[in-house]
Amino acid sequence: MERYIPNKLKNDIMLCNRCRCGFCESRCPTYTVTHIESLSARGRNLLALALLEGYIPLSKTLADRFFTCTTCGFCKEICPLEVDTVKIVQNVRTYLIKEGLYDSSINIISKNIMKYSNPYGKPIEDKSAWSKDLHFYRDGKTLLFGGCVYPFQNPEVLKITAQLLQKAGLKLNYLPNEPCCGYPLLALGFQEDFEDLARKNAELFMKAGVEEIVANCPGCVETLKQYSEYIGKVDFKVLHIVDYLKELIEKGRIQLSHAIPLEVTYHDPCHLTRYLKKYEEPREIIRSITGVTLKEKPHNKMESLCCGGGGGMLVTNPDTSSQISDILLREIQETGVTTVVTACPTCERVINFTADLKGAKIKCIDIVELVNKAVKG
Amino acid sequence: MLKDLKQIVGPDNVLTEKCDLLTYSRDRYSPLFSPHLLKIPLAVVFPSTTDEVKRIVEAANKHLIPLVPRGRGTSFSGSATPIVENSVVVDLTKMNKVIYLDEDALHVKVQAGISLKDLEETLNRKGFTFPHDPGSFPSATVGGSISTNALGWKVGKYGLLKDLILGLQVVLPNGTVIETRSMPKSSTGFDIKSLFIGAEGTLGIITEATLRIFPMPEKRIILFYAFPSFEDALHALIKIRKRGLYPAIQLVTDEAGVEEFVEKGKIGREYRGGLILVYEGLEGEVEVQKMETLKVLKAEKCIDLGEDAAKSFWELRHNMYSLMNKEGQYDSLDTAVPLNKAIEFYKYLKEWAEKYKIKNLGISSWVFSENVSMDLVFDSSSDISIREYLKARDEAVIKALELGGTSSYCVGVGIRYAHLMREEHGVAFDIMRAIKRALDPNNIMNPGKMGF
Repeated sequence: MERYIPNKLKNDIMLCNRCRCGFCESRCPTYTVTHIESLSARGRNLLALALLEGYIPLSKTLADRFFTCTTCGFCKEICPLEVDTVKIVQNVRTYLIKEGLYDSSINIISKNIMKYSNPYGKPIEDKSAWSKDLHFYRDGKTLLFGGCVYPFQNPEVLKITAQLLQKAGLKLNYLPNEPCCGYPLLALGFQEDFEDLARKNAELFMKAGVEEIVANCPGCVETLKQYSEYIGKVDFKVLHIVDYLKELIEKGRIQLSHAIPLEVTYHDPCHLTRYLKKYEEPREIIRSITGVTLKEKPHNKMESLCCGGGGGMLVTNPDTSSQISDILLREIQETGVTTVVTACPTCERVINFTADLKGAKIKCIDIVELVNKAVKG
Repeated sequence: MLKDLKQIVGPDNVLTEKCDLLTYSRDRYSPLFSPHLLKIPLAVVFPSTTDEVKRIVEAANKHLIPLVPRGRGTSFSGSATPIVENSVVVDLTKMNKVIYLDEDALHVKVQAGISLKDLEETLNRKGFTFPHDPGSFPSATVGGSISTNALGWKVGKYGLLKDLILGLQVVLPNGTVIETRSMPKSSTGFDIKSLFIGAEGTLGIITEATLRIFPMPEKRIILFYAFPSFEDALHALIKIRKRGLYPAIQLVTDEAGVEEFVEKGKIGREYRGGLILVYEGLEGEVEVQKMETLKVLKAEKCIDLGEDAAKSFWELRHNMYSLMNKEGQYDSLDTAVPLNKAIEFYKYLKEWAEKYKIKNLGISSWVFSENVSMDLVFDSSSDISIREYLKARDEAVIKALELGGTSSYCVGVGIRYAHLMREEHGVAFDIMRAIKRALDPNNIMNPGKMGF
């Protein structure tokens, strides 16, 4: 275990075990639904210390305590000592994988990413199918990065994004053989595979002359931003679509000409909010549309609840994941609105799936779809 | 026992895997100070109803298995740490419902495992507040707070936690469920509910509580002033109180509380003390209190540290005890002495820390002028061993007792000061033991805590 935990994280583990305030438990999604201490950041850090000091045997349950984490980042956000439990969890996962303590389902994810450039094992041409009728510029310095979730779940969002940005005057590039960003590898603990992939991807982007990457998926944005941490300096910057939309709307390059009389709530995706700190941008975009009223959920912005879909939980522990989703759905229902706007394909999928399952009249849409409606009417 | 537990709450509500149990072998009290006492429990059980708690307690009595009640495990004194072999931790956090809110009577009835933060969020949405605001507010539970007779920041305005408790439901060690009447005042015999406030789960398990709530304050103002010394700041606070003012928050600090402003060059090196006051309530009321306070302060040699400093204090009031761990293992001497001994004890603590080369992070008077407490850290680079440190800590506590004070105004006894209970209470400790024996003849409730 020792060699899988860098010194900075060892120090974090020690700090948490000294302090043990447990503030992290107040919103940790896996603790909230189970009440099991070892499924909270404080508990995981105690287990990490026990693993480092060698006084706990490895077991399936122990591995589960690390794989059952949505990596929502709430623990780090609320931690007075800024202990990075998400990184600790990811590194312990790497160790547990090396020890053979993981479910075979996640091994398939890793193989699929390496072979098919997506975690689902679908043909790569299907992944880029949405781009067929669109024109992109091979020499465009700004790369639209579609990610793996949107193309199979809601490819329309990518089409609209490309159209909105091109219409606003951007010379967009797109790679038909676009690789996976590596988020599932990083989150699940396949660190070596992730680093290999990141190196290959960085080279691919460099060869394509990319200076800037824009993506709709916050998981992709956060992961691409982390490349430099794992493989050294990279020559591109990464932006989320809300950065672009906000700026283009402000400059009048995207004209929201049509009013939409609609009451909505906004769901802050974990990666966009707690990792990338972008919670005002989407709200400003929504407020700039005439007729749209934004009604906040009880927990919003940095306190926003996790949808339960992150960190590989949909695969490693779907039952706990769905309990987490239920709590979010109840909060959405508390607002009394039926339209949820978000800016993450996983959140969108989980919210819509949970609402259908529970027979709730809730529809979750992407922020790009809302903007497009205001542009086109 | 395990079979009985699984039958009572269902197998999903009983933890028996070593990795899970390990995380319940500790609360917030450092194992550094009692490594020989820590025990991995036999099981952790999660009741959801009072009836389940009753049946768990009955089973424990049948099998003579010790029970350790636990909220969120934030005790600074080890009161939620299992220290007897084969203990069962009773985790109350699934008993986290608001039972009813009476907006006219200004009462709320809750299950004991609800966290203060969740309760506060629920009440705030309706325009109310439960003003118990301890340092562990983001994680602590109502039951844990009551069981340790905890102290919150805002006592100056809203009163002690015990004054905010109207009634309790408790499962006694023999399984009997008692419910004290939720009346603001009663003149009929012993105040039985008080027995369980600060009992650290040694007399039973608190399952429900009826609490006094308040309307959300309309306005809050925070004042942060630097003084030449701790003594000067304390005397200013005494004058403010003698003027008839009762700030919700009253904190006197030594130089540690103002040193960042000295370092930034905002104030001169002659300022070695601080005073923080918070008023909240109706707008007009707060404005008058502020005006009268400023009149008192005008006659003092002090300097306003400004809004940013005040705001920063307010935002850090829960986090500060966590942050101190950056320097080493945090510990606190939450001692109190009679007011006329406060300065003497303050000076004693300074010398004490110097004598034993203990890293002193600051001495303050928190909430009441009598509370003279010290934040300190111990780490491997400290000049003394843990054994020497604990001996020195006892020496300081005994000094507070000699001056007529108490060893803990806030954190509780737990395993930390169990050996000092007779020293502090004398014959009164025999009364406590008699009560404990009468209610818990088999000593199954949290054995080893509070000297029982």
